[in-house]
Amino acid sequence: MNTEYQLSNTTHTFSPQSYLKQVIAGTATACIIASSINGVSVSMPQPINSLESVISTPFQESYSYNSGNINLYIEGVAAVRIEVLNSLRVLDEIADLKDDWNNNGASKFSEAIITAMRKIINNLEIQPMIFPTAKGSIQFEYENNTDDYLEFELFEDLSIKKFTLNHNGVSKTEMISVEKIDEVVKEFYGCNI
Amino acid sequence: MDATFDDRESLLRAVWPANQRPKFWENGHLSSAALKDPKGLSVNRTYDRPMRDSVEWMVKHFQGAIVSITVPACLEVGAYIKYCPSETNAYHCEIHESKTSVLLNDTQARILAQSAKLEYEPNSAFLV
Repeated sequence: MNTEYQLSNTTHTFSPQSYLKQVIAGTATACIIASSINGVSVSMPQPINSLESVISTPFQESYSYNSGNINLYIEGVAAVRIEVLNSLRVLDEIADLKDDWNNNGASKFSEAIITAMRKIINNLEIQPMIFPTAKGSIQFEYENNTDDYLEFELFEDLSIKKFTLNHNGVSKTEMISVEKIDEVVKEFYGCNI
Repeated sequence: MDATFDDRESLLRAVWPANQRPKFWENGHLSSAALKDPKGLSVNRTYDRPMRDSVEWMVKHFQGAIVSITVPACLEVGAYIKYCPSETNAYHCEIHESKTSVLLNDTQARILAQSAKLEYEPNSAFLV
């Protein structure tokens, strides 16, 4: 199946598999240079060089691609930032974990928690470090340049715990709603907690 | 060997290597997520062995990077170190939140993660 993509002002049609594999691989530039049409390499006249660049996605309906440890979802014509793609890649790795992934009986993660985390990632302006925990939660965390620490844990029941530990050693834990996350993150980087 | 821990001892833990998921050691830091295990955070005590010997033992028996956390660091956050040797591993211990609670709390996990020192990285020289 070939899909139409628009990159800058040019439109190219090629296999989404080859396109997405290169997106996952790293920079947008690599993806564009290595793309192909029906297996034939395509050289793109206007490579995107900045990691800040957006990648325009297919004009058609939502598309989902899954191959082993690569699992990328593109929705409509929304632009996806590289940082978001990287977070989604980490999340896909977490989704691929099997039961007993930590060799100490930890359970695999449900589709519900993965879907919820995917939505959170897509809504976050500043992307976090993301990790699974053996207690069944997905932890995502931030550190600012004054050694303050902000951590969220998304649990299987989709509740969210916020934990902060500031540079003076003062900690605070509270449950928050998903809608609050982005605001909390922006506040974290705007001033000390 | 008994359940008494010397202040000069360290506790070693294997964390997943970069080429396996999940990647807990990133950008020179250990995530506290690696230390949150409701079944008990398994570690190996150094006891009377030099760090190098202890790390070599870990490398022979586990995959991944090896990090160390000192006994004083655990005591400072009020964690309880439980000595629980097995038939195959006389050095095995677990770090618990307290004598009555297994899972480390968020503050303990974060502070201990921050204090963790990388002792060995796969495919590279010993750091100790």
